[in-house]
Amino acid sequence: MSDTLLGFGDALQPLNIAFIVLGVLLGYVIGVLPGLNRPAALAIAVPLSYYMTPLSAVAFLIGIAKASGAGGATTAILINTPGEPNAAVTCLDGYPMAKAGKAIKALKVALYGSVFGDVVGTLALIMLARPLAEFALRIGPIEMTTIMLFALTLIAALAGSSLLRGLAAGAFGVLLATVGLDLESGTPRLTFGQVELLDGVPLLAVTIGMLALSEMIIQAEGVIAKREEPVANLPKSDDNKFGWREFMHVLPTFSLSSVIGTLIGILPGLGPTVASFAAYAAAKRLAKPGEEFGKGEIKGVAAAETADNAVVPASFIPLFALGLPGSVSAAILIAALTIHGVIPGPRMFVEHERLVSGIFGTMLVTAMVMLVVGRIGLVGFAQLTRVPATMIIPVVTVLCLLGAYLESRSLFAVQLTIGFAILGYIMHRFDYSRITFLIGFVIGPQFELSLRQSIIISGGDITVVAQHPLAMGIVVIAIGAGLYFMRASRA
Amino acid sequence: MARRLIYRTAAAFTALALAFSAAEAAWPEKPITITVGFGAGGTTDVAARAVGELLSKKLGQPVVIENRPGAGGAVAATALTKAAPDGYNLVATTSTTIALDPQMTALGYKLDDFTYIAAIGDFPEAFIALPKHGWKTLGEAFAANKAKGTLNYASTTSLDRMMTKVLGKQVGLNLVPVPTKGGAEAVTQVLGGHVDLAYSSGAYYPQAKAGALSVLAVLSDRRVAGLPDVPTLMELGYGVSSVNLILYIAPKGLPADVTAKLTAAFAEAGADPSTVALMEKRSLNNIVEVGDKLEKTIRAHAASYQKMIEAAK
Repeated sequence: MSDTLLGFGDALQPLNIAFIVLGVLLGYVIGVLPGLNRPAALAIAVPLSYYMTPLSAVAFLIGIAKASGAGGATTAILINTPGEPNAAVTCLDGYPMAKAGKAIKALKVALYGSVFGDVVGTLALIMLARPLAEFALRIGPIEMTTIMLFALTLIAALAGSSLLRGLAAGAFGVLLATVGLDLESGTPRLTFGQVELLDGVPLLAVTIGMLALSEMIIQAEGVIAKREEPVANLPKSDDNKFGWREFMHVLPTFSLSSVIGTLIGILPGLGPTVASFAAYAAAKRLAKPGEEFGKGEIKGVAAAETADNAVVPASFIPLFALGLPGSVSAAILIAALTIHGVIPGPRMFVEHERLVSGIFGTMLVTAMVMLVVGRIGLVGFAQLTRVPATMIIPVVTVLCLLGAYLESRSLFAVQLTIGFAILGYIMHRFDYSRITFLIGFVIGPQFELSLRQSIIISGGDITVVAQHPLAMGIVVIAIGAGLYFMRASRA
Repeated sequence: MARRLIYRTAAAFTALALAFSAAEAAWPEKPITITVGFGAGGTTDVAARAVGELLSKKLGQPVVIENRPGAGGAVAATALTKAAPDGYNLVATTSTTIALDPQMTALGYKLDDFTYIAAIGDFPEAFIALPKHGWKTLGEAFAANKAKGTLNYASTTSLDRMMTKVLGKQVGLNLVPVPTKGGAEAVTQVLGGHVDLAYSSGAYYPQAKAGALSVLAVLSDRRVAGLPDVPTLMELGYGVSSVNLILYIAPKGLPADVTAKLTAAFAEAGADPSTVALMEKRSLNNIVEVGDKLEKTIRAHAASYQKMIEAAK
């Protein structure tokens, strides 16, 4: 017990807080800047952390991982360009809010939602790590396949104006996700002899190209044609308050999205992007009369941002309980710990009690630091709306290309990014949803993997689903949700 | 005029000669880059960074570590074949990237494309299962499922698929690989009871130490230091083994003196107490091989993989 208290004391050491602040600042910058992403930031930060003490290293890395998720909303709201792929859904309602002059309100709800989700996910990690990890272990390939099936129905929920075009874009995403080595035979599929494509089309090139760079083309076109007001002259509205009343209004969305994010976070292979899609779809499904999702609904921003931030701490649950990473951030945390002689896993709580409680304390402190830094930064970021588009477009374009290069250090990724930007622009022109494309692309590989695992394990016998009650339940929900979403989008 | 020309020519030659002798004597005169074929934070990356730091102290130049993950190290290896053999470009990857992968998939390199500098550490690859089955060795697991005729296992690489095919033929069992995304997922599948066995290259270690997993056999030529009671496949009489080393290579045609300096520095780094301690922590076997001996080992690996591919057909 005293070790636990000492650990929390360690978390409050000035040096530790300094590393948290450093990590949060860096994470925010990475999150805000489109093109520079969390994996790239962590990859750069890991070598630095080798020279720190275990707790400082963890504080620094957790600061980056958490804040980059929260920062991603900023540019999504202000210039319709997500700073991180998981903020793609934030654009749907965030940008319309900004256009209506409620940019600051949108930024506030995004920040408070991020911190809310983060705290819920962290508390789940601290209090429920063991049972949640046991639950996650019970999710086998068959359950996972049905979850993926459910996730694919989100395409129908987020298809936008045309269900058919939404489905087509989603299917195209799934198709692109099949590029790479075949899981079983190791045969290259659709790689055209490119070694760089053996692992599949890099996610970063797709997301930066499709979401950020193509948006710059669209905005540049608007500026040149003078069809649209440049981002600079957004109207100002008096409705920028986010007080107790507003908080109570979005509290149900915050809570539900936190739970969704936490549950998705403990399952490896899903990640923050899927979480934000799912929470948004759930919020839309539960919309009350008068709430117009896609046209500047505050709950839309709240859902997406809360869920994606709950994922980060929740993805550490398998790491602490079982010693197995559930996400890229978690894998990097393992590295940071083992380099200092700490092997994450069930014995860690016994062997390094003080360090574990120090890490938990650090994660809670990080949430508070995020709130403070984000709240101060918000005032500054809001000024972005006054920067003319003629300055924003070239800067973001350079950042996108730089980010694509940094991740793999190859020009191939840059070429791919440009290719996807052009593709994204064409899809936008013909009103094919880039969001449903992304759902297909993100979910495709995990769906294929789980499905093929299930087929092998069951010997191709589909009736085994009946022996998995959880899987059966999810199938029923998936079918129900799919039908509902389709009807709703037709209406 | 003529005299001036002579002076100039002489000066130019002197400068050139100086430059050449400087190049010979002064390697390394700028930072050396080690490109890791896997992501930051993985075992190969952590090992390369530790070794890189020791190298930079010995060679008096910074050693820069870059990550270029992709296709199991093949992206970095392919890029290396296009780099200059000047001793400033090295790649750290696993030995199977070089010895096995080009035999399985059409890749842009072969064994002869590299100068083999060093191997430091090998992975504790093993077959694992849940203790509740009561299997102590791989043989017991096979015997228990003899009647069923089939046994599935979580697979992570083309190497394990090939090896289990050979094993299955020997014992008359259909060993069915269930593909996974990697080591962590393979361990999760076993822990959750979704598959019978798993092949794992090291992610199992903390769980095995905690008693949540049984380790049935080690694939390497020798036992894993942290698990002295677990026999190797060779000891169990299956006649196959797989050693996966952390390998450091340079482009082919590296000047002999540079190679000598590099291998000497790597040998020293591999013997350093800090490297030994690190390998222990990551549950790697403490193996250090350099130069010609290493090249022979890698070629022997490639030949035995080729035999295994034939046997698996």
